[in-house]
Amino acid sequence: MSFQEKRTLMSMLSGVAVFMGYGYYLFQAYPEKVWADPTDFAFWGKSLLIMIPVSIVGRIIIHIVFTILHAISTGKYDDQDYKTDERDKLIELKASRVSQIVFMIGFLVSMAALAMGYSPFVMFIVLVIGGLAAEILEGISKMMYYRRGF
Amino acid sequence: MGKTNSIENNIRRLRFDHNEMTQQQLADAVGVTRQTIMAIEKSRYSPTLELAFKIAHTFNVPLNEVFTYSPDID
Repeated sequence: MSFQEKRTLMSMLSGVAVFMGYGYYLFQAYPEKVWADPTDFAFWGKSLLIMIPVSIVGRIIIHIVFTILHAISTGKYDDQDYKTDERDKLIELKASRVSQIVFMIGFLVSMAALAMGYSPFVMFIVLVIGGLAAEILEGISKMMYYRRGF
Repeated sequence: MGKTNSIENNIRRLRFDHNEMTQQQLADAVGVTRQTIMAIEKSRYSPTLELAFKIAHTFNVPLNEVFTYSPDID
């Protein structure tokens, strides 16, 4: 497996891990807000806004640790494979398109849930799951493009 | 099963003819990763025009000696 594939896999797994960790913290720290008052929009808005920097910082830390560990384990400290080139950028672009389509589908489903009379809690959960699915499918499509070519 | 395209190349032979140049050496010469050179050699990736010219320039041959187009493959 090339460094790019390992990096993609690590990025996908770290994204899921940070998301699950934050979700777990939210459900443990504020169970009364999550379960008892699903119409507390301020809470959901704050939670989603805080998730963005938490996710970015968490992923940066995991990425740095992964790159250091990879360099130590392979003994390649000045490896040319660490850089990105035109193929990496194209794969990034194609995977990003997949991610956007999946997130858009999640958004439409969440709006449909609201339109069908489900509570805003369901809408937020569908929205968040859509975001997570978009991230996972972005990673999978990147791996596929690296392996299969295009 | 890898996806291939209608653009074939002679990079492997050209590398061999140039003192058995490695994929890494060619990658360094044209400014991409070794994985990209590998993908081009296996016809899993069609390079940009700029990269194609850089590869041809590295081997000091015309572009059509490096890449050939075969429409019947698709």
